[in-house]
Amino acid sequence: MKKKKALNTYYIAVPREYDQFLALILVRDKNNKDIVPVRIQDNSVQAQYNATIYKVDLTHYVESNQEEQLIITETYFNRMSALPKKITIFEDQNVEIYDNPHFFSPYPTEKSQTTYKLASSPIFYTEEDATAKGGNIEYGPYRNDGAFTRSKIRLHFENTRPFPVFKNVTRVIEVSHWGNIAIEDFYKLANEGAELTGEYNKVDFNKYTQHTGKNSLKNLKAKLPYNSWGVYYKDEVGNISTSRAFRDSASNSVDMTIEPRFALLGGWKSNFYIGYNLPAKYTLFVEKADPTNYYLRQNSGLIFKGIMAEEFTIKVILPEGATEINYQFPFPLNEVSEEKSFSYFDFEGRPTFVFKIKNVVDYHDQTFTVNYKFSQNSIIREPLMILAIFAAVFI
Amino acid sequence: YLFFFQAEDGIRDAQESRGLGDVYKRQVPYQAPVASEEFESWALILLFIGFCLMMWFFIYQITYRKVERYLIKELTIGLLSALFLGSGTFFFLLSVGLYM
Repeated sequence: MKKKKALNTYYIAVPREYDQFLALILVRDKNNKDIVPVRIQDNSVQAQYNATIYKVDLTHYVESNQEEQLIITETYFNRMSALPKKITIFEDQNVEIYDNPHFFSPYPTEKSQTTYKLASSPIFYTEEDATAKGGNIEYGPYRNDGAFTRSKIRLHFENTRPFPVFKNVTRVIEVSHWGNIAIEDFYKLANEGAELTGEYNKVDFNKYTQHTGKNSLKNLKAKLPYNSWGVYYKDEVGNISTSRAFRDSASNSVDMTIEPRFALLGGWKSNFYIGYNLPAKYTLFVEKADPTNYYLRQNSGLIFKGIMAEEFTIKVILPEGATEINYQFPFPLNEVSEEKSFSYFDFEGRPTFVFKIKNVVDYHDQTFTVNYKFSQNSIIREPLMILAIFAAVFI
Repeated sequence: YLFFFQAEDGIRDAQESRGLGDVYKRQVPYQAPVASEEFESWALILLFIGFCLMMWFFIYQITYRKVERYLIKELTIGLLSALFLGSGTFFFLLSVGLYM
């Protein structure tokens, strides 16, 4: 006789064709904590059903014959593609998406229903099992689905917004023990919306003509830490003056709005730098018991919210002479390496740690720590070198 | 050194961060040896003294002939003025935001 037991493990399946576009899964059970599932090793079940399976360790045991409610949030990128791929400057952008309306799971499902929430009524939706209520398209309810039930529906609808994506973001954090952390970010921005057919001209696309280039990317909003100072926005050509920044105590941040040199139409790209400084006392900490032990706490996410970075590289440059360097991130990293950077008055170079994270979304907006040992007396080295230069002049 | 971590292999949940509250209590904000508000004052005073000493050095060089000058005095004034000019320049660079 089989004894039914309590479980605290749950498995989630994602169709392989969509898994490559998956940025993040989060699971929430009744204890209201966000759990990140772990992808399990490839096995025959995954190969047979062309699925990727993730394992979730719930925060508590579910007794047999008991029900449990789980909220699973999956964040995808590049699932929507512009259709038509090229539009004129006056047309609206339309996108299409394919999806599986059944609940794709390693377990059988008694009842399921899927609702697609769109801003307005779609141009086209697959009619089978569908009920359209304005912008909400409901599929189902489906009863007694087996495991790994697959099907495909297509939606074609209007979405006139630009699709900003950062192809690459590189952040350099330089620590100075004279009281400042200097941060410089380099962004490769692209608008992955519908492209322009024909030539671009200022007669059709200008700020006086209404309703042109609706899917063009004209500005972006960023939030910098509240104590930032010396903020600059520039690119290879030079300073870009079309930006505004405001230190807002209500939101405890510096709210910055930037406008690229030109509005990015679909398929266009732009690169720029944003730099700022932080006084060390807000992000660099010393252990009370051991004053040679330093902790640098920094944000591991982007200053732009709601935009994904395909690759995010963080370089932390510590002062020359820092040793026993450790780091701690609240999520796993794709790649870590160590190198040396050379700056003013450096002999052996400054220890630099390079952290790489792929597909960075708002979830990665957390704090990471780099911990190192540094003898405070070595900061005297820099002024001593200037002294030596002057002394040489006199001698 | 190159370390590769596969993102799929070990995603830990956010509960790990619960331990950080205790860790944060043992850490105090870092205080630089000189507060940033004082950089300009230090720069001005040190550079001023440095220039005075430098003027004294040059005047000493000019007014006395080589045989009448004392090497010790030259070296002391020279090095002292280098000390003040050097640290003054250093604080001047810090005050305009060029941290080293």
